[in-house]
Amino acid sequence: MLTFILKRMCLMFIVILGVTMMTFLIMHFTPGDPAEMIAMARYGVDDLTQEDIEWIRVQEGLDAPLHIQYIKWLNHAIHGDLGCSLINGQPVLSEILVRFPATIKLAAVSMLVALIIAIPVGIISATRQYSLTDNVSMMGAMLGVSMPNFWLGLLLILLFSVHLGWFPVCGYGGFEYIILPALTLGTGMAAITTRLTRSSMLEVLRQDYIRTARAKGLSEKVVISKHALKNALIPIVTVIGMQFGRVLEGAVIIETIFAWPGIGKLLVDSIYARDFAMIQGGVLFVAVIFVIVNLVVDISYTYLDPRIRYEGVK
Amino acid sequence: MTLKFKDLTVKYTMFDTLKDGGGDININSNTNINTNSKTNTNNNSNSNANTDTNTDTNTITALDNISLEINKGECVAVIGESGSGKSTLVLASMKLLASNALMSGQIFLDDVDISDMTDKEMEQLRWNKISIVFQNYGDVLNPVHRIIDQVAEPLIKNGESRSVALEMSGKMLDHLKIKTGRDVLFPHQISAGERQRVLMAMALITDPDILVLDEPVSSVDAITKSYLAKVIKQQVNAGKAVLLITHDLSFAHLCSDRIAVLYSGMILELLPSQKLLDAPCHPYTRALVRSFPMMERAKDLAGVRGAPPSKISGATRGCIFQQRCTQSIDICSQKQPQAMSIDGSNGDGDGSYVVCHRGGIATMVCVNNISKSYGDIEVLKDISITLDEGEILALVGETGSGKTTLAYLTAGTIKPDGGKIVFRGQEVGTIDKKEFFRTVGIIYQSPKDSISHRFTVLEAIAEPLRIHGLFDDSSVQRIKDALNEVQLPDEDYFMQKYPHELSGGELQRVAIARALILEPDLLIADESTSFLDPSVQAKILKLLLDLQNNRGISMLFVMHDIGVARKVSDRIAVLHNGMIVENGPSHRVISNPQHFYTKLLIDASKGNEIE
Ligand SMILES: Nc1ncnc2c1ncn2[C@@H]1O[C@H](COP(=O)(O)OP(=O)(O)OP(=O)(O)O)[C@@H](O)[C@H]1O
Ligand code: SF4
Ligand SMILES: [Mg+2]
Repeated sequence: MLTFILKRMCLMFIVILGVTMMTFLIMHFTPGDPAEMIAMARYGVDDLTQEDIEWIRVQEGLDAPLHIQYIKWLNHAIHGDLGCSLINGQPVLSEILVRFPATIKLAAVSMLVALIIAIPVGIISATRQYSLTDNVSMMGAMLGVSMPNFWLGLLLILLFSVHLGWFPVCGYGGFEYIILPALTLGTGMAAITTRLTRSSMLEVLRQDYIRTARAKGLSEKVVISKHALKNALIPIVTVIGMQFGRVLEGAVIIETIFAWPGIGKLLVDSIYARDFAMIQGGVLFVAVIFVIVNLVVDISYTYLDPRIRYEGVK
Repeated sequence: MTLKFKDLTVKYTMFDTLKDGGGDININSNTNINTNSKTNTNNNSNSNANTDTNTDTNTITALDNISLEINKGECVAVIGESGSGKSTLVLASMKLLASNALMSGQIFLDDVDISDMTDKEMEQLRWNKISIVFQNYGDVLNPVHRIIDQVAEPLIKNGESRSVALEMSGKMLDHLKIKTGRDVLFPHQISAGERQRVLMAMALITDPDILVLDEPVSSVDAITKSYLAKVIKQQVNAGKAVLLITHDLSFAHLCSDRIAVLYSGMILELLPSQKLLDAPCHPYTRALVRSFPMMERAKDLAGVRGAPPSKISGATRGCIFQQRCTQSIDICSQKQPQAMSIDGSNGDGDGSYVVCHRGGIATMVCVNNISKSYGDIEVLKDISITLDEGEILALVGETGSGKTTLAYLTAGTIKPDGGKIVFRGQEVGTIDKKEFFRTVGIIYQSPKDSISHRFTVLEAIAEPLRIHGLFDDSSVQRIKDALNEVQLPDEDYFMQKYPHELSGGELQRVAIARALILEPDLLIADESTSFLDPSVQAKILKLLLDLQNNRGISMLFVMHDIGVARKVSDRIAVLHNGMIVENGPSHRVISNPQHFYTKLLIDASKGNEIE
C-alpha cells in the first residue's frame, strides 16, 4: 500500500509540474503586456508613464526569459512561498486560503446533490431497463449533460430568484445562498453519474454472482443492495475523483455567475487583472487539491474492491 | 422430494449484438426484450403456449423436449459435451434462465409445477427445497464479499442469527476441507478447486431436498474428487434427489445410479450407470465413452468424429446425431427418432431408453453356432459372436486357435460346416458376392497374399475398383488420396513400384489402401501388423484407428498379442481350442479376466514366465 501511495505521489508531482508549466506558457502568450496591465492597476490609467511600466517589468522580473521566470517561481513555490499578488501586494497563499472554504463548501454540496440524485436514479433505471422510468431519466440525463452550466445557472436565477424570489440572486452567506449554485453544478454532474451508475449497474446485473444471489432465494432488494451495488460502485467511485475536477472547473464559471467568493472567482478576477502570481498560485493550489482528492478516491477504491487491495499489498 | 422435468424446451433468442453491446446508449431500442427478471417470468409463461418449434429461426434450441425424473435418494447424472445444454438444464431447474431464454414445458418439485411461478414464489423454494452448485467459472461468487459470508447468507435470510450462521458455515466449509482461516478470504484469493468446494458448501448449508450440481469436480484433483464423491453419496443416502451434471464419465459412474446422455439439447439415452459404461446403446455414447480417459481403459482416445449440429431452431430435421453417426440409414435424415425402451417392456422396465431409429447400436455381423473342420481337426466348435456397427473387436488367441478361420468365415471366403453368419440381416452365403465385397474389406496376414507381385502399387490399389467397374477418370486421384490417407507418397515414381521394391511396412500400408479404396463398412484385419517391427506396427495401428474413427467403420482385428489388442479394441474375444472362452469390453477382460487361458495370455504378454 505504501509503495502504491509513494508511486502516486511521484505521479502527482509530475502532473502538478505540467499543469503549472502550461499555465505559465498560456499566460505568456495571452495578448496584452502584463507589465502595463499591472502598472495600470497600481497607478491608474491617467498618469501612467512608460518608465513606470518598465520599472514594474524589472521589479517583478518580467523581463527575464520565460524559463528563468518559471524556475524562480517554482523554487519559491517549493519552499511554500507563492509570492504576493501583483495587484494589491497581499501574499497569494493567504488570499487563496481565505477563499478556499467557500469553494470546498460549494464543491461538497454540489457533489452531494449529484450523488443523491444519480445513484438512486441510476439504480432504478438499470433495474427497470427500457421502462418508462428508465427512458425518462435517461432523457433527463441527456439533457443535463448537454446543457451548459452557466445557462442552467442563469435559468435557475431567473426562475427561483427573480420570478419566485425564493433564493437570493447571488452572494455568499447562509444556506439559502448555496442552493442555487450547488444545484446548478450538481445537476450537471448528476447527469453523467446517473448514466454511469446505470451502465455500471447493468453490467453488474449481468454477472454470474447476481444469478447466484438470486438462486439463494434472496429478495430482489437484497440482491441489488448487497450484491450488485457494492460492485457497481467501484467504477463510480473512480469517476467521482474525476468529477471533482469538473466541479472545480465548473466552479470557475458558477462562482462568477453567483458572485460566490471562492477560488474560481478569484482566478477569474486575477486573469482579468493579469495578476500572474495569483493565477499561478491559484492553479497550483487547485491542481494539488485535485490530485489529492484523486489519491484519496483511489485508496477508497481499493477498499471497495478486495481484488485490488491485495494486489497493492504484494 | 423428486425433481422432474417434463417436455422441457429452452430456446435462446439471439440478440442483435450491436444492440446488446450498446450499454446505455440505445435508450429506445430493444423495448421488447426484458432484462428484468420479474417481467421475464410473465414473458416465459406467456410464451409457453405458443412456442412454435420450426418457424423461429432466430432462436437457438438449447434444450429440446427433455423429460427426466430424479427420485428421492437417487443420483442421476447428465453427461454431454460442452454446449450440449447441461448448464441450461441446471438453470431451468430453479428458473434462473437468462432473460433471452424462452422456456416451455414443466418442471416439478414433487407435484408442484414451478414453471409458472413468479420470482417471489420461487424465492421461498430456492435454496430451501432445491439448491445448485453452479458451474465454477468467472464470478459465480461475489468478488467483494468474503466467502464465509456468502455461504452463511441463505441461513441469515432464513432468520438465523449472524453468529450462528457464521459458525455453521465455518463447520460446513471445514467439512468440505476448506481450512479455518481461509474461510474469511475473498473468492479471488482461493484456488479454483477451493472455490468449487465453497460452492458446494454453499449449496449444502440449508440442507435442501434437491441438489443440482453443475460440473462440481471440474477443477479439483483426483483425491479431492473422490472425497467430493463421498460427500455426494452421503447426500444421496440421506434421501436427497441429486442431479449431477458433468462431462466426467468416471465421476458420473462413481456417483450416479442412472446416466442420461445429453447431446445438442436432447437426451439420447438413459441407462443405469454401470450399463452405460460397459455396453452403451447409442452410438454417440459409445463414442463418448471411447473419448473419455479412464484409468482402467488402455485403448487410445478416439474423439467423436465431426462436430455437433447447428443449434438454430429447426435446422435439423432427422436424428440430430446423423452427421456423426456411423450407422445411419435413410430414415435417420428424414425423421426424428423416438425414445425406445431398452428392455423391450414398455414402461414397466427401469426406464432406460435410447433415442435411435435402429434401437441403438446395431449388430452388423452375427455369427451363430458356427463350426468348421479341416479334415479330422475340428477348428471351430459351435461358435457364436457378434460385431456391432462401428465397433472394434479383437479376436485373440494363440497360433492355430482358429482365429483366421473365423475371420475368413466372416469375410465369406470360406464356408462353415454348420451354423450361419448373418451380415446386416442377410446370411453371408446368400448375399451377392460383388455387393458383399464392396462393404467388407480384408487385410491379410501377409500383404503378399493381398497384392499380386505382378501389380504396381497403382494397379494393386486400382484392382478392386476395376473389379467393381468403378474405375474412371477420377480414380487416380482417389488412389492418391488413399495413399495419402495411409501416409504413403502419392508421386508417380512410387505408384509405379512393384511389391518387391517396397518395405514390409510400406507394402502393408498399400494393402490397407487397397482394402479401403471401396470404402467398406467392415474391415477385417488378420494379424496385419504382427510381422512388422514395433514402430511401424504402432504407426499402422494408429492409422487404422484414425481411419476407423473418421469413417466409423467396424473392425475385426485378429491378433495373438492381447497386449496390443487392449490398446486398439473396444471388445476382446478370446479363442481357445476352437471355442470362445471370454468375450467382453476390453478393459474388463484385461482388468478382470475370467478364464484361466485369458489370464495366461495376459501374463504372457506381460513377459512373465508361464508354468
Ligand atoms: N444466455 C444465452 N443466450 C444465448 N445462448 C446461450 C445462452 N446461454 C447458453 N447459450 C447457448 O446454449 C447452448 C447450451 O449452453 P449451456 O451453457 O447449457 O452448455 P453446457 O452444456 O453447460 O456447456 P459447458 O459444458 O461448456 O458448460 C450453447 O450453445 C450456448 O451457446
Ligand atoms: S442410427 Fe440413425 S437414429 Fe440412430 S443415432 Fe444413428 S443417425 Fe441417429
Ligand atoms: Mg455448463
